Amino acid sequence: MFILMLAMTGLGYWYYNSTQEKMAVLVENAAKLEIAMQTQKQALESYKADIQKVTAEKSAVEADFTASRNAVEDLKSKFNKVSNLLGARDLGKTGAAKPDVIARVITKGSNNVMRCFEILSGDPLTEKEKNAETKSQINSMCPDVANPRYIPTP
Amino acid sequence: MYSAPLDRVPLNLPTTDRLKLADTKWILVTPENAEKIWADLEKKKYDIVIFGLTDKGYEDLSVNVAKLKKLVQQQQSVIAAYKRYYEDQTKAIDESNQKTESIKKDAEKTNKAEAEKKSIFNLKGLFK
Repeated sequence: MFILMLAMTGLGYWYYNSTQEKMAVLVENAAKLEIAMQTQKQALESYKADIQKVTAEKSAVEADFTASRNAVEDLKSKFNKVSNLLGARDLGKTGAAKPDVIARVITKGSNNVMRCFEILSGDPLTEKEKNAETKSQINSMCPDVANPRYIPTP
Repeated sequence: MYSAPLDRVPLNLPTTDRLKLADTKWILVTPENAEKIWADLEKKKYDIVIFGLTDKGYEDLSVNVAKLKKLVQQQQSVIAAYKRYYEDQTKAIDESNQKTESIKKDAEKTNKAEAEKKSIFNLKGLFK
């Protein structure tokens, strides 16, 4: 009887330990799965955030491209301006009539463009450029680059 | 299997040279002022020569320079976008790695606690 009880106890002890070990493995596996799931979720969220950033950056660059293209078109239109009052603008005719005035205007324009390149290369803005607010104070060739305080009026 | 995230080696590039451009002066020569211009050049000891452009040539040159400026601005915009994107991404990767580490630690902690809870009823524990 005692031997039978001893055998039963031993069997019970072995069974209990065996199930405990299996349960520990299962708990560990569940934890690993949880980590894998969380990591996947995080990767997906990160991917979504990246797509949003890419879209935002693309829009910002496209806006900059449009602004720079408009600047070229603006210059072209300055040369081909047609006014109801004065008719078509002709730089050649105006230059022949007022050479000194036009020479001054285009000299200022050329030097302003060169200044735009200096600023774009990283040259810091002067106080005069920083504080320019009116049309007469700005660098008309690149106010967006040279005059942060200037707000163009449509 | 364990994996350790690698830190990205920072790309520290030198900055481009700053431009310092000389001012230029335009002269308009017409039949009326030509003599005066030549005399002026002579007086200022310049060579008696003018490198000329027609009005159309001047307009084309101006538009060409404006197009160059456009290109520089567009390239700067692209570089700035890349910079912003990769800096943000590096930050996001760092945050994600930290979060993953934190999840792993939490899971390990829970796992350990669970195992300890189970061991209370373990017969082995009774004989300790």
